[in-house]
Amino acid sequence: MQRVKVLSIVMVIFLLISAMSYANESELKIAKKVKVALIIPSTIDDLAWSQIMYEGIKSVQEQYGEDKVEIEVSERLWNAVDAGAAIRQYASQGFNIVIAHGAQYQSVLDEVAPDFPKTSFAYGTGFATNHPNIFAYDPQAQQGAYLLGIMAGLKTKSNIVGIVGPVKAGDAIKYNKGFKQGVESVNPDASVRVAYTGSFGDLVAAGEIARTHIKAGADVLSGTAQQCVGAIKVASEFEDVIWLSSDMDQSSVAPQTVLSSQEYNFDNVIESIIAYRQKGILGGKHLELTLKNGNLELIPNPKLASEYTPELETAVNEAKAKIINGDIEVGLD
Amino acid sequence: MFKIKLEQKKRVSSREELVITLTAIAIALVLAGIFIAFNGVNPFEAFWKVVTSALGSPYGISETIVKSIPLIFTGLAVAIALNSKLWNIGAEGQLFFGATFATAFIMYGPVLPKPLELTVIIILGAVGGALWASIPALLKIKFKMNEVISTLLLNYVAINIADYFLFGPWKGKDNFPYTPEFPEQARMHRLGLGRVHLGLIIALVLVVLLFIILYYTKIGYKLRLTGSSLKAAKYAGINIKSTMFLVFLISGALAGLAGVAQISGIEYKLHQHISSGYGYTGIIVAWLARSNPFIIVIFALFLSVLLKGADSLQIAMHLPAAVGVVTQSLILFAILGSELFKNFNVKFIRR
Amino acid sequence: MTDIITILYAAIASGTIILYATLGEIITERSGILNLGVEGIMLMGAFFGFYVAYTTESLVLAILGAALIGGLMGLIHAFMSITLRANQVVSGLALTMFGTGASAFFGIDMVGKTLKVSFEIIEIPILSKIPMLGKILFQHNILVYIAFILPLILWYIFNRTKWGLALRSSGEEPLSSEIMGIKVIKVRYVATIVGGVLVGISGAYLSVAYSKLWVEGMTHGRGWITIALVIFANWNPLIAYGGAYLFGGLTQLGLNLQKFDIAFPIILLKSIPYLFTLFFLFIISLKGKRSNLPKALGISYFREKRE
Repeated sequence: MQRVKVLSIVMVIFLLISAMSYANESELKIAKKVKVALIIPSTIDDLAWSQIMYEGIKSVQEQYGEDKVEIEVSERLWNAVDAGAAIRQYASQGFNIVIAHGAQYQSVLDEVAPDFPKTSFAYGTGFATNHPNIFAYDPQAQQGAYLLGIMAGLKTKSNIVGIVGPVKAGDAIKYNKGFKQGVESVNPDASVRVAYTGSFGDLVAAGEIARTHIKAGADVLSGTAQQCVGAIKVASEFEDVIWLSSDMDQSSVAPQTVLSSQEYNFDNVIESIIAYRQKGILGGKHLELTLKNGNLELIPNPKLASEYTPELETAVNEAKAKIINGDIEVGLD
Repeated sequence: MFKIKLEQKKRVSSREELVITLTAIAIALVLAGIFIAFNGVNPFEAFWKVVTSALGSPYGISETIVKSIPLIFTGLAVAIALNSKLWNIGAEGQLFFGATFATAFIMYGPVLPKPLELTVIIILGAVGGALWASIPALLKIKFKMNEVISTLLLNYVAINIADYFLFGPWKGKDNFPYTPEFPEQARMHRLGLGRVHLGLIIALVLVVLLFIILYYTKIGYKLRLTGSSLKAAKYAGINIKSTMFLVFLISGALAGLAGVAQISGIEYKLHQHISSGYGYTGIIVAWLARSNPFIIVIFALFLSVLLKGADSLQIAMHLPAAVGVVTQSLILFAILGSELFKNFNVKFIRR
Repeated sequence: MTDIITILYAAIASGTIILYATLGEIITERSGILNLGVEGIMLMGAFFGFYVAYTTESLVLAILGAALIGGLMGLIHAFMSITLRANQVVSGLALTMFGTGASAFFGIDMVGKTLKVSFEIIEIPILSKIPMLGKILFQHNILVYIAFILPLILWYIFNRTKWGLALRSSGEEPLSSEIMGIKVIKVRYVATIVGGVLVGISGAYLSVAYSKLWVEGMTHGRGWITIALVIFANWNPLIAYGGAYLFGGLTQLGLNLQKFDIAFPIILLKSIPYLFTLFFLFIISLKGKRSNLPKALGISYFREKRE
């Protein structure tokens, strides 16, 4: 029930935003059935990166009907070699769109895509589209991270903020940089401590790092990737510790601990890809997820509404407006 | 109560052995079928899917062969050691060290013409694997340290060394732990069937070569004698220590080649997942094949069919990927258990 | 200072995972059976313990359940390697594959679930008030305390009881043990099952008490580390303390050094336990000291066959 509730809140917010923003996607009409295959590194219920993509595709399917959108998913294909086999198999079975959900699949797609020129392939995080039938999607994780950083900077009493990172690479670096800048913008005295588990899926190690951060005085924590579910569990053992999530709304893991979550609206990305295909464009586009286009947003945890002081709301909203109109550029250097 | 009485068999006819092995595999498949039925999937359909997806199309066949290439190498690596009654549990580490060694040349060395570049990479991969295997070899020969344990421990160290480079100096774009893509000169040729690459030919040549060496040369005789009886080997004037050392070097070199085949034949870069446990699966291949090089090819292909088939089960039947692993383990258990029936006449006596 | 206390406290808590498993494997190996299936047994224990804790909300039943499943896995290995005389290396590998696959297969519904019960921290009166030491050692849950005592009990059994003698001689000289009236087969069965029980409990400690969640493959190689630690401990339960807590400590130290931005390659730090074990083995052999390696370890025992 909890999940349904959260999901419905997400849906409402999403509907509001999409009603306000550029309306070209909502005009999408699907005449012929679209077959979408999804390759994910972990599972459809990992509460993070893989699940949010799955839910994005699912919501597109719900919107247009199962007779219009067909979905197949292959889970646990972290290893790009095994993923390559699955990608080829889907393409040869006549799937129209094959989404390989991870930066590590880029080179596999480069290899497979030329053999199936009528199929659209997509991967992310990434920007390079080396073949005309490859889309790259690219969440600007640093933008939401900046806003979460502001929350952290204002919420911390000990002035120690901890980040539980997976592997020191790609999205995690982007996120951590944005987060740090956000903290510094409102609270220059706070120190942000970063530690990495060295793995995307080691929930146990993530829990250990969270505990280490907390014991060392951190009272606001954040982190990315599937592994940080383990860290959230540990954080929820401590009453006055706050967690700020990324990838998707993780408040169901610890309703009293997760204050806010950055969430990716991949449904819009999928719709864009379908729309491009209808125009005869099979790829070659770099699809960004930003605060501006509404594909990236913060989901507050309604259970912790009392934690949102007016000061916090104002600071976050102002920064969000500035990022959207370009006054603040969250740098990555 | 029954009492089991065993009488050692003199010799098993190869026909009898085949019947026992096939029976064991059949029993394992029945058990796996029950497991699959748990998920509401018709086991017969599932097995048919495994066979057709792995062998039913040129694409399936090519992918099955691609998976079997590293397994032939690691299978041979473990087998050559087993022939001398040495357990090399470290093929996984040797694979990684060989791959890292070869990658170092690609990263820092000059760019040579393709045939030369490939030759250098292949040799370096073998040398890297052999070097890594020489550590447990020395520990065994000089200090009598159990090789099962030292090779196992060194796997972690080798993988950590590769990780060090991947997370450090060789870090790729976006800071992800993989090297930049190798230049064209460092990529093995494709053989015209899907992704099947030059590594297959090297592997098959080595299969024949090792068979000849093992059974038709003096060195092979020494190796096998050391395996069958240390006393007899000593009596025959064989230097056991240097023979063991040689065995380890060859074994490590073969495992290193598996690493080269992966990075230069398939991946075109070094990263953390160049092996899906091929070093460990190689142990199973070698053991199932009783260290016979030709039979290794058969079992490497057999396990590849299972691995490839499990992928398709996930895609087509929505079975969890775990089913493939479980099926493999059941087959192993069944064949393990069947060994008893090959070596003994088993009689049940009522007490 | 508080950082050091934090690290040492965490070292004990995380070392306990591998301590249980190491002790289990020591018992098994002492009887002459090499069980490379630890990783798989641990995963089965972690999954089943979590499952029982989730469905029954009873911690006692959870631990018993994990012990039971661990014992069953041990029984499989015992049956393969003792009764069927199968190769122990291969049987152990098969067991790891089976445990990894089966726990992932059956555990799918438990991923992401939250337990309503948890092991409470028990502060031991008086002892927990000792400066520093009290905080490090005496503010843990009950399973950690049991792990404190277990090696002592095992050491006593190994060295001071008839059972211990039977166990050790089965692993050293099975044939002559049999002549002296020791039922080698029975001893090995019991040792492999009991070893499995302890490994199963280590899995449940990991999922139910330590990280309070289940996810497939969550042991992340800890089972293999155990096999190395058994050698590090020289098959002596008392040294197993040192091995397990040292390993826990090094892991925690690695995490902590990162936090202080000390430029030390974490990845190489991870190699320390393995290199340390190799070095330790090396020293033993240099000094010509006898290692406790059971002579008959990994060798099938044929009562009928006399050579």
